[in-house]
Formats: sequence, structure tokens, C-alpha cells
Amino acid sequence: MNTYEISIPVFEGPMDLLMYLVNKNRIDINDIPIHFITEQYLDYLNQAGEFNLPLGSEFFEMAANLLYIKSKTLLPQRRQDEEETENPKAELERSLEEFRLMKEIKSRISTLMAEEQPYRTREPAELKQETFNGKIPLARLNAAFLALYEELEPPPQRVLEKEEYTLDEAVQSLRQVLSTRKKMRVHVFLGMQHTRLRLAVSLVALLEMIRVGRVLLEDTETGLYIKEIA
Amino acid sequence: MRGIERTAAALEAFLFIKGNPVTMKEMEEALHENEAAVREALHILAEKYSKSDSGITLHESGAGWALATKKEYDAWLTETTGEQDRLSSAALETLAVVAAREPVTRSEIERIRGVSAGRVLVVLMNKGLIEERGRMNIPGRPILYGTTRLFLKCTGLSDINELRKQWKSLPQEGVLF
Repeated sequence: MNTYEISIPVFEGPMDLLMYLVNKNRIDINDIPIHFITEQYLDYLNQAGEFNLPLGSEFFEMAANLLYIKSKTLLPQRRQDEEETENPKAELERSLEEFRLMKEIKSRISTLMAEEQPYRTREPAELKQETFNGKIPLARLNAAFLALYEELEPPPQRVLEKEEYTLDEAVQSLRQVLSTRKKMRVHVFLGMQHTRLRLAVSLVALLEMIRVGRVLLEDTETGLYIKEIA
Repeated sequence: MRGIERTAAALEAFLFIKGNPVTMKEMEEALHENEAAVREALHILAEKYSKSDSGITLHESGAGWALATKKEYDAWLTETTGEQDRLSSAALETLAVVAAREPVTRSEIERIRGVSAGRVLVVLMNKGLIEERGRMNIPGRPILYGTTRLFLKCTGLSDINELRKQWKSLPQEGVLF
């Protein structure tokens, strides 16, 4: 058996690998030679497969994305397409830039933490400041109670008012809404009535108007409409 | 004892009880003193700890002032009490995204890092470095994550914005589309 082993770098995710390739080849993040990088990326996947590295689906998703971008750059583009569709390459470059910044902040946090870590502190002590110590004078308790008692306001009184809605008012209301538009759905009109009383009176008003020939109901596929008779 | 020395002693007691870094405002309120007096008291304490052969020091960072062990005893403490918790690379990366973009959703973290973040988020929450910050008002109402005061303590920062400035130049998600 051959015990000779080649180690290939292991990456935590596709962005990690991509960043590695970009750094290794000293490529400007804002101008990635997509053919080149796609090839290297696929190379890595192939090699990793050979060496039995478990690769997550996200690596293959990125590979597909790279191939997609590559195929797009190979095809001639129509002008209007450029403006309408988002440029996947630009998006990839933006993602890489974000990834790079994230790495930067990560190393800053790591440095800061390493600087702070040697200064160890205690866990905060549990304080029991609120415990009753048996030393509250009766007079103070009394004063506290009275102060609160004085501040009490009588609970607000609510008077329930009797609702009144006459047939005349309902007729007026219907005529008013019809004056602004030629016809309206029965649902809309009745939907405007927010209490049971108003709903009932409005229905009676509608029937009354039909009876005296002021309005008519139109049955269409889209629903029942109230229509004013001119 | 002079008045200011009493203040310094009270401050020492206060810092001892608090453990975690304490801000100037908290000290002013606790001692009923103005900033100048608190600073003088801090100065007295710092002198005292630097002069005496104490294992403790008055440590100042962006997060505030705290009584902490002296740096030179760190190696010995590690030997005796064991290694301090270290964050994995994945946890640090996730923490970096949260710190830079907070409040931020899990899917945004995963978008930037390109790998799933569920387990790492749980680790960071358990360590108290990040916390939930309510939910985002979009379909699915995803949880928003942000850093904690413990995070500021661990990094010695007074304000998360000190870290975030670098990301200002990048457009936020949503602005682009």
C-alpha cells in the first residue's frame, strides 16, 4: 500500500475557497477573470473528490454559479438585457468584498479579544439590596400609603350612549355615496356600516330606495351593484 | 482619611462587587460625585495597585473600568485554572458579521459567509456574546441578532460603531434591489 498522502487545503465554505484563489493569484476583487477562477475552483472540487474530502452542497452551488457567470460572459449580450437583469458577476464581486471585510473584522475582533483576555475579572457578585431588614418605621410606611392614597384618581366613568340611526339618515348616506360614483357594490356599501344597527337600517334604506324606484340592483358576474336611476 | 481617599476606597469596593467593567456614568451615580472626583479616585486606585505588589490591577478599556488580574499572571493562571474559552474560526466569523451588521438575520449571516450558521449562533448565544433583538418585519418574521455588553467587555470596545465604520462604505442589503 502506498501511504504517501498529498494534503490539499480544506475550506470551510465556497466563499472561503474563492477568497483563497483570489488571494493566491493576486486578483483584484473588482475584476475577476471568471474563466480562470472557475477552472481553478472546479480543479479544487475534483481534487478534493479524489482525496475523499466531504464537500457540502454549497460548494457545488457556487460551482454552478461560476459556470453560469462564465457562460453568460461567453454569449453575446443584447443591450437591453444588460440593464434589466442584474449582473451576476458584479454580485459575486460584491459578495467577495463583503467576505473580505468580514475576515478583516474577524481578525480585529480576534486581536482585541486577545488583548483583553489576560485581564481576568470576577463574576459580578449577587447583591441582595432589596431584602427587608426589619427596620422600616411604621410612620414612614403610613406616610407612603397616604401619599399613594392621595394620588389615586377616581376610575374614569364610561357612559354608554344609545345609538340612533334613522332610515332618513341611511337614505341620505346612500344617496351621497351614489352621487360620487355611478354604481357601487352592495358589499362595499354595507361594508361601510360598522354597527349592527347601521347595517340593518342601511339594508332597509336600500330596499326602500328600490321600492320607490330611485335605485336598482344589477346582478353581474362580479357581484351585485347598486345603480342610481337618473 | 481625606475625602477623596474615602471616595477611592468606596470606588474600590464598588468595582470589586461589580466584577464587569463599569462606565464613568455608573461610577458617578454610585458615588454621587462628578467626573473630576471619580477620575481622581481612579488615579489613586491605579497608583495604589501599581505600587503595591498586588496581583490585581485597575484595568481600563473602552467598556469601562474593572478590577482585573495583572497581565503577567495570565500564564500562571492558565496553568493553574486551565485554558480560557476560545472561539472557533467559524464562531469568530459569525460574530464579525453580527457585530458589523447588527441587528442582522441568520439568512444574512449565511449569505455573507456562504455556509450555514445555526449551530454557531447557538454557541455564541450560550456564551452570551450575542442576543436576540426582536424580529424583522418581513414574511416569516426572522429573528434579529445583535452583540451584548459582554462582547464589548471581551473586545474592550466602548461602542460597537468603532468596529462598524469599515462596513459603512458597502450598501446594505435591500438598498441595491
